[in-house]
Amino acid sequence: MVTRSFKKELSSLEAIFGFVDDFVDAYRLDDIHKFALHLAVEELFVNMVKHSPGARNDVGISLDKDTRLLRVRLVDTEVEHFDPRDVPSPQIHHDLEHREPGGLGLFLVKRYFDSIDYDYHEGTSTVTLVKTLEK
Amino acid sequence: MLDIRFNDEHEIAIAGRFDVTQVDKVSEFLAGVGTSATLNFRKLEYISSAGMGVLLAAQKRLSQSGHKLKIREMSPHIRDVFRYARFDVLFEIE
Repeated sequence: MVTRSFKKELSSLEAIFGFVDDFVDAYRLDDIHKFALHLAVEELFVNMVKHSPGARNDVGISLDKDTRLLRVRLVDTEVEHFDPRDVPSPQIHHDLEHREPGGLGLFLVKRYFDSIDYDYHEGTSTVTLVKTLEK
Repeated sequence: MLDIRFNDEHEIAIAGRFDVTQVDKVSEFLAGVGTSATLNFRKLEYISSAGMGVLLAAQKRLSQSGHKLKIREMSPHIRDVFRYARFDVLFEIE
């Protein structure tokens, strides 16, 4: 497992993608898993930035892989309770006129990962994603 | 990093990674597009929900004047994320 902390601001994304790319290279993951990891860390990290504007604490990101599972964990401290599982799905069946930008991020993350867990304890939010790897 | 420009075929070529930090850059470019146009995704490696939102906003704006964006040369994993979000029914994809 690899873990690194990143300042909670959008300018950290470049370094976060670099962190993911190093992990992808180390485990020789394919482009589909690389895409899923990029999407997961961006959508969850951006949510954390948006829900605590002005906060200066770091967000911890952990990536782990064994023979069967791929795990992503983001840990955010000094925050209010925000369970990403409670976010309603966007209306993706509307026609163009009635589709609105926004609301897709967590919906897409849920499509790429088999489970999303949330824990909140004394101001610390922990989001864990797990994806079963195909043999 | 992301690059957006007209290529030699007069398509709008988007290359690199279209994440939330590139929203302003692409929005400003597409704001200058007032008629139907083709986006070439051959060198687009990644797009997040923020990037998809920019494309949706442009498609909605253009549709109001009877125009639209088409997309060419989309990679399989970007085609997947478009399908999951049902963007494949909002954009003509070649």
